[in-house]
Amino acid sequence: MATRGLDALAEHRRGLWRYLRVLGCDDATADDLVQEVFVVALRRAGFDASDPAAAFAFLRTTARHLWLKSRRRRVAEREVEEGDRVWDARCDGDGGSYVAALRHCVGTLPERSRSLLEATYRDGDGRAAAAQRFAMSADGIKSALRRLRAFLHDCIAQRIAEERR
Amino acid sequence: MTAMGRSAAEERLLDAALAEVFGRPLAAATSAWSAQRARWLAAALVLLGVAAVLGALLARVPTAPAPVQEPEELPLPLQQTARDLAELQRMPATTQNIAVQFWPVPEAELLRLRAVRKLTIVRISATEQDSDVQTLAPLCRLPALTDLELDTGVPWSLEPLRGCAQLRSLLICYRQLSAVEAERLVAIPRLRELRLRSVDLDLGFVRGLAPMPLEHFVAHWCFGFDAEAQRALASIRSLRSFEILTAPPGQVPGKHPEPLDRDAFAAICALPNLREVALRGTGHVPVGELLDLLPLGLESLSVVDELSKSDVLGLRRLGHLRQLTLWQQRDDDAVAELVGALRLRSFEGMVTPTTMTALAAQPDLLSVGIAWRSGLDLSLLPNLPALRRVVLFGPLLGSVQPGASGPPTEALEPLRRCRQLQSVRLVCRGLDAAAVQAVLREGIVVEIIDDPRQL
Repeated sequence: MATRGLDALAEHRRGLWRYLRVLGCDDATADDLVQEVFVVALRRAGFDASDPAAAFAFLRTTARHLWLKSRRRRVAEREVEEGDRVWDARCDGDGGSYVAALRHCVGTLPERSRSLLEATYRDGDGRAAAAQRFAMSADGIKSALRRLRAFLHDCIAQRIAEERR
Repeated sequence: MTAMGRSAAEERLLDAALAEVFGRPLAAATSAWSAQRARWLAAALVLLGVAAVLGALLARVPTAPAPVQEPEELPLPLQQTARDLAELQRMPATTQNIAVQFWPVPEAELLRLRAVRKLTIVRISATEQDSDVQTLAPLCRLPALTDLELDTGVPWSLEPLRGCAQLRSLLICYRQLSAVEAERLVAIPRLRELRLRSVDLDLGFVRGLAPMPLEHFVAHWCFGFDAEAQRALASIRSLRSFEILTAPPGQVPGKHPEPLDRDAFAAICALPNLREVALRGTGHVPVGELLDLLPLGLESLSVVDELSKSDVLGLRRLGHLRQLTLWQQRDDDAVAELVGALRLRSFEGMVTPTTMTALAAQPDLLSVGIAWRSGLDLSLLPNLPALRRVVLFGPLLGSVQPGASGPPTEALEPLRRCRQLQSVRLVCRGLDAAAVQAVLREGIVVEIIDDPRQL
């Protein structure tokens, strides 16, 4: 299994991380659980990574279980179910199409809006820093980000619907 | 639910995707500390005594710590060539990457080589020129075969390849390709990569590929791959990578392959999954016009054509690029500025001190491939914390100057201090592997390639 198994598993890394984030993991926990899921898969004698869809289904189930286990019931089943519902509705397979749709939508934004997203999600600027950078008030940044996110949600949904047509 | 009527899970999905799109690096095996790890602490303390003993033992062998998972796919071992059956019989059963200069191989011998992942058929004997429907059938008995190169004009039917259950990548050369061949390829269950070299194809062939979930398409010197056929390729929505080698009209005498059509390339670049582009020669002038079409989400780019300074700097907009191959002879400062604006995992190209300084600041760089120049200083490479592989291209390829040489072994001395380095590949003649190994740390695999076909 070793090398090919790891190679095949690595292809699912991003998708699994996205899925765990949707369930409610923070970034670092999602990173750790991805590693744990892979360890489970590698130790499982009959695990077959050659069929990507089946492999991802197995990894997803394992990730869900490990997330619930790690929270020791501090996360409600219905929250996880909601995460699963959103994942199934929005993401084909590993969620790559969702990210691709987002990339497309970001590409259609005006330069200033893109810069605001970069400042927030790439550079980690808080509202105060972004307000100074864009010569706006902190509330103005909050509203602008809320509008941008609403636009991106709609744009992604439309893009995915077009793709599926 | 949020004020906009969306659930928290939907907002988290958008957050995760935004983190990815704006460059959040996915953690490697050695990810940041988190609460999740805290519960391992107790077990770790128990194991501390054992670890101390093991540590003392390992300290005697100064090898780099192996990560739990390699962040990228490990390359195949160097190809082994068998010129005749006797040479093939001497190869161990564990050989993974073989080129055979004869075909067919006796079936018993083929079945012995059950570990073969990549097989290249370089030549066929004159007596085997007659078309035979089943000549390629024994290949399907190689259980690990994922990569097949028919590196010669094999006349045999591709039909038996449908039985190769693991085959993912196929190279076809010197052959007429039409809708019939496309049908054969579509029937290969796991085929995802198609590499064509010096083939004569028609529109029916490219259209015939549509039902296949093709991910990688390579067209080197393909005749008939005109604007219409290129546009047909853009209908394959699963396409992840595209590579082309062609020439401008009139540059080569006689029949020449068609240039890359700007509109067709725009359609290919608009494909939702496209992440890798290699332009080994486009025939399109100026090439900068094509670079403007590259999608923002591109992760790998290889350009062989000489670019203007503004073309190079224009690539800074591709913030997701992780693999860059740029064989620029001039405008070194622009290349350095471009490298400084990206977060690369792999770089290949000409390097001068300015570029080397920019490369040395790349925290995620796993692999560098650089052209050796006399006096090139490798002393900055140990600054790269993640560096796994180094390739040095000596004066082997292109015009070989008599007396030209690769790096002197003492120039490789800094590589000894690269803590994670696993392999050094030297593409040049006249080097002694043992002498190179003596300069490097134990555990670093040294490969010397003196035949370009092994690349």
